[in-house]
Amino acid sequence: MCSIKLQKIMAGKTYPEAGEVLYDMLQKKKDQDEVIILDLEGVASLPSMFLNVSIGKFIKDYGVDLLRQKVSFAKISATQAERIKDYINRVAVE
Amino acid sequence: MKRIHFDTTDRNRWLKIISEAESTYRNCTDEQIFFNFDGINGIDKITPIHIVSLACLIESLVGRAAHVFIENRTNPVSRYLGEMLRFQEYWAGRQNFVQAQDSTIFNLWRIKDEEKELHSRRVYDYLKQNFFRHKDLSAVQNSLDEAYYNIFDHAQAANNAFSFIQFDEQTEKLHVAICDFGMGIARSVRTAFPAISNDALALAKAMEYRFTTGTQVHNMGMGLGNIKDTCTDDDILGIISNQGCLFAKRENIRTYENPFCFPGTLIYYGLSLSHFDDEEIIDNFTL
Repeated sequence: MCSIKLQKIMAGKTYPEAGEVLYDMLQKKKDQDEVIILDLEGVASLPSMFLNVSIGKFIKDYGVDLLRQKVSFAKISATQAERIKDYINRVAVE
Repeated sequence: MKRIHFDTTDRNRWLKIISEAESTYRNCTDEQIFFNFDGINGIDKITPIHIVSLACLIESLVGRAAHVFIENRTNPVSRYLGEMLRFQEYWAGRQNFVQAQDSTIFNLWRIKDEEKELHSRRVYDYLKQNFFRHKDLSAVQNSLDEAYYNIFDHAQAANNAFSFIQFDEQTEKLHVAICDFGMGIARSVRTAFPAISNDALALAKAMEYRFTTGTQVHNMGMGLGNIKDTCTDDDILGIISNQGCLFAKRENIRTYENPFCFPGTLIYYGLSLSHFDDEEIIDNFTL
């Protein structure tokens, strides 16, 4: 199990920059056995400029099934969870 | 000496005055331009739409080296702008943000690329600490982030963009207006897709899920849709850009042609925060 604190990734960066950092981390860890937990403590906003270049790009490059196998979320609000689910469903049908 | 008369709070007529003034005073170096609000008797119908569009007009005129004055300090609108919103500090003092003399107003902010994440967070924290400690307001910050990025990704606004946010304690509704005097969403869409025949249709196109003009790699055509989706059943999203006008209430979208050409983009929306869910943190969420 590997935990990534999004607040740490986002600090001092624009959303697209932070999204690219997350994508690189996901890409590096995708072939490892462990599950990647994205910890959202202290993070309120997950705008499209962040999601498109991180989770959205991962789905495009490796498919939604791999994302579902590899990634889960911790300390996420119910609204954010709903939004992530909705986002992934939309991107996955492309 | 020139004078611009604001004699109405009617949204379209106000924006027509703004649009015509922006176009009329293209060459106004060293001109004295007086803003007169004597035809308006109170401030109850002055909304964030009025404030941000007025701020963009002033910024535009000052940028052309005009000297702008607000006339008649006893008029309620003039007093509101000067005393409550401290307008002069934005131009005479070159401030990007000053606190309003009212705790329900998140005052005018000159939108800056390097401060946009900071500002949306400031609004979120302010609402959370002062009004809705237990509500999940993540969608508020999210919608502001989408709107502010939209300006820098598409507008080419040359630093003429403002945000103003007001919270109505009685209705528990947040009123947001964001305006830029840039290229305009409608023109941006029509430049990328010349087959679109008018600005109203261009705005409808911009709202389509997955539509993007492709100006940035992080855009996938979801930003405006995300703002619309944040609005509840009681809220409306409005976009006025160039000669187009769009209103969205959930999935019900109507478009019109304006009788004027707005020199940029005005986005405004309300958020009924009482409809937002209480914050519930999930420890482990799997997809």
